[in-house]
Amino acid sequence: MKGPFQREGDVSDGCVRSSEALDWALGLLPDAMRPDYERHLRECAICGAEVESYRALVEGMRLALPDRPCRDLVDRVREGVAVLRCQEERGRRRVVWASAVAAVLLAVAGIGGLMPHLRRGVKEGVETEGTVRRRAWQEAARWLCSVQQPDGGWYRPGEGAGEYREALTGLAILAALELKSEPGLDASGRRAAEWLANRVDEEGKIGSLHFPGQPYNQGIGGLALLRWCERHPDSPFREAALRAARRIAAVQTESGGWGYEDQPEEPNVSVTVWQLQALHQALALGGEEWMERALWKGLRWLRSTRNREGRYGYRRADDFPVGSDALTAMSLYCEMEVDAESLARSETRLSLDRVQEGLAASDREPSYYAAYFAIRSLRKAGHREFEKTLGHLESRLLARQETVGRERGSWPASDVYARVGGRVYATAMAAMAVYTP
Amino acid sequence: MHGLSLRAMVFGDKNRRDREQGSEDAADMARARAGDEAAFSAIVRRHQTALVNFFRRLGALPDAEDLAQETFLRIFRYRLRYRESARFSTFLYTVARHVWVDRLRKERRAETGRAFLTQRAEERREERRENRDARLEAIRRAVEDLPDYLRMTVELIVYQEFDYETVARILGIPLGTVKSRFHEAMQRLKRRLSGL
Repeated sequence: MKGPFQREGDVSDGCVRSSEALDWALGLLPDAMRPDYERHLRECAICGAEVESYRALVEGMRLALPDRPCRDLVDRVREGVAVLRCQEERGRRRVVWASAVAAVLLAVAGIGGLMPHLRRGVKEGVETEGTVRRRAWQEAARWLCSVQQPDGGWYRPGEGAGEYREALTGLAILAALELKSEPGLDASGRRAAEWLANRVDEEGKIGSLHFPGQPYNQGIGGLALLRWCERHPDSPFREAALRAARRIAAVQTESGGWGYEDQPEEPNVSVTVWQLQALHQALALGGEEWMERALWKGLRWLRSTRNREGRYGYRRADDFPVGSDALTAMSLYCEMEVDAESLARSETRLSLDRVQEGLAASDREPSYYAAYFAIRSLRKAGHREFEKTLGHLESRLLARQETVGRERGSWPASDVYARVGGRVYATAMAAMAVYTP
Repeated sequence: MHGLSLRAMVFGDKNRRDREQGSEDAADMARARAGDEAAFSAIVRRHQTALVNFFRRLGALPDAEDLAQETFLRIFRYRLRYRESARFSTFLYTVARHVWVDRLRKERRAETGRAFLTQRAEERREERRENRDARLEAIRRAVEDLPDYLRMTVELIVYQEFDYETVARILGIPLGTVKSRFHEAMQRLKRRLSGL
């Protein structure tokens, strides 16, 4: 026998108000309907059973798929926020610049109709981190192309120390090889490689001047020329590049390192890391066996400068005339680059930790030089726990890129090495640091 | 016995907590708008577990945390658009729904949906192995087998404890549609689990 609120064939086998049971059980029934339904519940066993069944079901659902603890996301989100802030800052600066241009145009020409186009042009959309990086590379590439000399050299007359032109050109070639897909860079790189190849004399020496900076011209210029030839197998500069590498091996000190020409018995890490990378590159290009012996000898010397904490000294272990962060980063990267097995060594892990600590502890912006080697070594190690440090450092570097004006795309010559390297050095190092293939 | 609803029994003080949390969220969002990153971190800490579980139950087992991170970053990006008149949790889950929809669309567009679903199924099976309770296992399977549009409604009402009106705002659909979807979902579940 069915009651007055029941009908045949209902899903709940009974009461026309049973559909309210679910809402009541979950507290979803509007307040106005609640008292009436509660009175009904006291009388209707069918709805009472419905309520109980929904309660049991919901409790079961919550038990079957419960909330589980998750890892703290705050650090990950904070890193993302840092990137977003960079994007916003760049967007704001662009708007200010474009507004200024627009104001001048309007004032001078009185062309009110331009305004909507300008507004559209400067509107900053939502950008991904990839978009920001991509634009940073594009603008760096454009700037680098714009400052190349007509003869192919990659330096700016009057900026930095003129004696390092081969090294600067080498840095720009290395950057061009990394950002090679950007328009114009490959052609510029070729002209620069030709300029550099013409600077390699019969003995393999790069640059004609005898001065303390020559080993950098030899190491960086040689590395760049060798790498260019490796990436361009038909390049006519191969012989010049290998000649430069032979010269590097020939002037190696007895101890295994490389130093300045006027201090032949005082090898130092700063010069040595470039010579080692150049020799390593030469072997990939078909260099002779004796170059390989020089490479391993040099690597042994480099390792001898590392102390037990994993820090590399300038001339020997615990020799830190200007701090240890940059020395450790550049030496570690060099070691990882020339000896793949070093990644498995416990000393390498120690040094990686020192690099990360150095970046985290510093309250100043690291030099482009230090930043480049630190990013490269941490990235090469590929450990997940370095991601936070990497993301933070890369964001800071991206934020320093010029976004308006004549120097747009470059990085300011603001660190200690920029005194001799200028903007070409700053831009090549920073662009390579933030570049991810 | 039926004097109190389940929500009132189990989550009796939820409304009070919601109000308190809502005012904290509003204050922290105002500080975040002014550049206070610690305030934004506080918001992340308050909502991260619920949000990760939201994505996990929708089926994003391998990358629920990534999707939660993406949601928080979008919230940060839209912080200037947020109006305090709206409840923060409504805003949060509206953005989360968009993140989820984008994710599904991306998977489909990349035609890796099948592999993605297979992976999800595998991971679900793995979780099931851990669950030795046959009844709970059956409930879990029944919930997971609901179509996406019903599952989302169930997630927001049963697990996130939103009312119909809020869910309607989050999903951008009429109130009546939310009700009918929820009832349909629960009846399907009841029917399927009736033998237990």
